[in-house]
Amino acid sequence: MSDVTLTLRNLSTGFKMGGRVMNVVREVDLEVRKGEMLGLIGESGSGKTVTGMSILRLLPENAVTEADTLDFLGIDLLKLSTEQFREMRGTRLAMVFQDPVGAFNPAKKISWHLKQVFERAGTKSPAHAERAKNWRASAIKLLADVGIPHGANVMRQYPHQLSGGMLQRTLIALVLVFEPELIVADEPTTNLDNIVERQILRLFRDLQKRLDCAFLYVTHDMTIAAVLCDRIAVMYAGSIVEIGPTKQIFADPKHPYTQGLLASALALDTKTERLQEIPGELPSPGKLPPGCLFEPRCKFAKPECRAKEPAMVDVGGERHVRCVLYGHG
Amino acid sequence: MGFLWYLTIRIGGALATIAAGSFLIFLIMHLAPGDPALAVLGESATTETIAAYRAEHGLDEPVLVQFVIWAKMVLQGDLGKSIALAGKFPISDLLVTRLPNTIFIGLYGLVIALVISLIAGTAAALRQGKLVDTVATGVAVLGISMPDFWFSYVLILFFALSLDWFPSYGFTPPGESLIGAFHSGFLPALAIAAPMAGVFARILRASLVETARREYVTAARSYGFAAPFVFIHYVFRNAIIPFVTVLGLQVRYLLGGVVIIERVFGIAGMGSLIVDGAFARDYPVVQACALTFLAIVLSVNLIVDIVCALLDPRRTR
Repeated sequence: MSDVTLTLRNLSTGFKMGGRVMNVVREVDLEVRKGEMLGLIGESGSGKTVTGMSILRLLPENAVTEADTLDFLGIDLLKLSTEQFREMRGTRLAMVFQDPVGAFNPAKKISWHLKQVFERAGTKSPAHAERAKNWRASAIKLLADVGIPHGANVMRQYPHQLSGGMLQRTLIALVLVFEPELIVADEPTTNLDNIVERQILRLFRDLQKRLDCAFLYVTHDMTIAAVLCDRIAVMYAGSIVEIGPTKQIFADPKHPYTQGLLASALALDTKTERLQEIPGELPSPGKLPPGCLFEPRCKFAKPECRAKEPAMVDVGGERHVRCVLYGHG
Repeated sequence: MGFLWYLTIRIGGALATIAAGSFLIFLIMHLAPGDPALAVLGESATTETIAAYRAEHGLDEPVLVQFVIWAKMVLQGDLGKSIALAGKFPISDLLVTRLPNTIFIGLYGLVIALVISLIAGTAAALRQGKLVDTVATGVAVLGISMPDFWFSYVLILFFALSLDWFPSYGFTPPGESLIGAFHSGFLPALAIAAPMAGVFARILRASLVETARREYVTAARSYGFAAPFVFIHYVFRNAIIPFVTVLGLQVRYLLGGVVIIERVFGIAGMGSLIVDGAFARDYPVVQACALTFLAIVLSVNLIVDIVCALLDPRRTR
């Protein structure tokens, strides 16, 4: 078995609302391995972003995250104090955001961002400290690596003067400064046009190969997951319903929801998040159905589906499905 | 669009506004009831003396011609002579003694309001929903809702009459004694500052809370930057842009407050001058005061715009 970088066991995240906690993510088990890209897929509102943000403790103060295990390279992330966790962020655990334009401080130039990040990363190792000393030269080299040849010019600009594609490249450069062991990317190409999107996806592939890190890629787009990810975890209403290697899932989707997702991905413009192949809507976190969460929208639904939520079933070949069609686990 | 270009446009706009504004002021004074000639010469004046006075002062010319004559005089620093106020001396002399007092009290109040609101607004935003927030927000509402003349009397009663820390009446001009001006101007400045501080604190709190939710703040946290660094360079740095904009708009109310506060504390400033001028039907004085107020408001707005442009690169670059 390859090295596991991140292990989640029974992770639940909710938000405090008027005295009670509304869970948005429930009982998630995941592993992200060194050198692999794991796709976390689902509709908007399925809890995939919240899962990613929970791992980095970036959610607002009213969020409550609980887990049996949250292990990062042998470090129990649950036991870290706020300050200890902050030390891990950036240097070892990094995040790439959905909206590259919104991820930059609008009052500061690109050079300012790079300088701060180089200085912050300088605490990680002597090599990083050396680069922080010559941060300007290091930054220009790094920008060239992510496909920005005139780095010195770009660094003189303010964020609003650059295109979304340029900013996303720069964000990737910032992550490269840190050389983290785990990267969580949250729909980082949703706001980009198709050609730029393809370029950025290639960049993510290169980035991951170069750092040989663990990569959790959050997206609603099956076609992106197909070209980018080694394994895929499908999320529905805050739970993982199917997980396995990308090729096998695409060749033979097991869960009815995954089948629907694939059918609509093949049939539709991938930029929209509405699923025409699957009737109905995602249940809201406050009003979850009693048994299987997908049962109200499932064309294979049986009475037993309503009795209790099915457990994860090991169907072989590193594949797991949460559906009674494949046994009861 | 470069910063200099932006600056040129703003200054040009301010000059155009002051030209249009001065014409409006002039027109309104003409439409106001009462004949200046009659006001000067008194009820006993004959038709001949009135006509002679009108011819002498150009009052028989068309309004537009009169305006041009007046505007030329103003541009040469001649605001005319007071009709009614003792001695009938040049209004520019009046302004030289009055304006510094008003500017001093206004700036004094503004600085007090800024200091209070920066501390209270930031504390409330950092302790959102906690006791500090509740208290700061409550006091801010109190500051906004208290009538300024009433609050002035409370201050006089407490700090001047009971504790005897500050004078209850009168003001030492800053030209005479700077320490004396700070001391005697403290209570009026505080009275002007109270409602402004309330408004400023609430705006700053709201702006800080709103900015803290932005994605770039989450991004900054994801780099592992320390919380104080994130607050200063990401949250505060961006939250003050709308704060400064609103601050500029509030200066109008500051001038309105000055009129009342100068009366209450017996300060010889622009506020009491315009009130005295209005009661005496001294049109040239009222006209000159209105023009000065207009110039102050426009200058402050210009300064605020420039500060905002410097703070927010998106406006000019």
